[in-house]
Amino acid sequence: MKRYAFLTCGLILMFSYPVSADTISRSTEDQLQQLDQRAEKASESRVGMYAKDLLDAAKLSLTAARANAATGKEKETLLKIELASAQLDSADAKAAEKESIEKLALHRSELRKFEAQLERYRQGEAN
Amino acid sequence: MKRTILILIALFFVSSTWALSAEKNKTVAKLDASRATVDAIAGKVGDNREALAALEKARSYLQKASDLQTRSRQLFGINIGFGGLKPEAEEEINNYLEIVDNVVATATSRLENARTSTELEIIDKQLASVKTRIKVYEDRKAELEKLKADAAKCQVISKELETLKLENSRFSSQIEKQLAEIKALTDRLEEAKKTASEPVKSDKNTPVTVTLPVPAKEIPSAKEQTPVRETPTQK
Repeated sequence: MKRYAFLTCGLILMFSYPVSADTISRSTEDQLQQLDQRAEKASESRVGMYAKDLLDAAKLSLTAARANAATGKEKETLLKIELASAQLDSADAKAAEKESIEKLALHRSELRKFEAQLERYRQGEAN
Repeated sequence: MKRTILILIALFFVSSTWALSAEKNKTVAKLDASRATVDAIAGKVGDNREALAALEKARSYLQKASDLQTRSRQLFGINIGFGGLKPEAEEEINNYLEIVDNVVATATSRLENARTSTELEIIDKQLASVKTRIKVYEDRKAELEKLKADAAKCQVISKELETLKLENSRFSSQIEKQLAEIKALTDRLEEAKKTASEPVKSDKNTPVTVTLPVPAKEIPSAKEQTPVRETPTQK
């Protein structure tokens, strides 16, 4: 009887260890690391300038993911990783959009300037 | 007493049902709002590949959230397909919806970016055309400046030419005068030479006749007048 009790306890401990251990899978860790690097790189690029709020939100999600990872919550960690990834994508797209709009405004103003110059030439007012 | 207990129990059920339905409605409302946003963006995507991919992603997360919302209904901690949501499921649904919002924002940004890029392309073409036309004017302007400079040089040269012409005419007249003088002198010289050479000639061929001036009083009559011939030898 005692033997069965020990065996049962051993089995329970063996199967419950991975669940209670404060670790996450290697691939999740890798994903987290990759996103950390991506966020760092984005901070130093145009994204940090044009979409700082979205980048900050992504960093916050990554912090939450790290907190989940520290307590071994794999599913929650993955969910936060997905959210952070989406936020980083959004930050990238927003930065590209803002940069494009800025460039457009610049080219538009340049066009106006040149059109005015052309008009002056046409009217013979150019120096 | 029994009736009071029954009323209290009924009230408890009613209030808990209201509370649970309110909670359910909140999540459902969020889900509906996200679905509406995705549908709204779907109408604008067109054939933009990046936006289409983002839209697909948003739809898949929306589906996940919707499935989870259906799956996680519980009443008093028992999954029975209706009632309120589990707190952890609610958090997960909120996460999914947040992802959907971000993906929709990404799709919107990419659509806007594509529109801006198209406009930028048009503006760049216009800019190139205007710059070309300006260059034509500037080339003409440069040519005009060059011609003006040439004209100014020509004016200076023209003035110099006028001066030279005046000098030339002055010198010409001087030369003419001097030539006339030279001619006169040459003539005189020739005359003098002739005059001087005449006795020499007579020495050889014919005798030179020298007419000596005779005082008027002593002028003899024409008959008495006899020419005196002087020869170099006589001298």
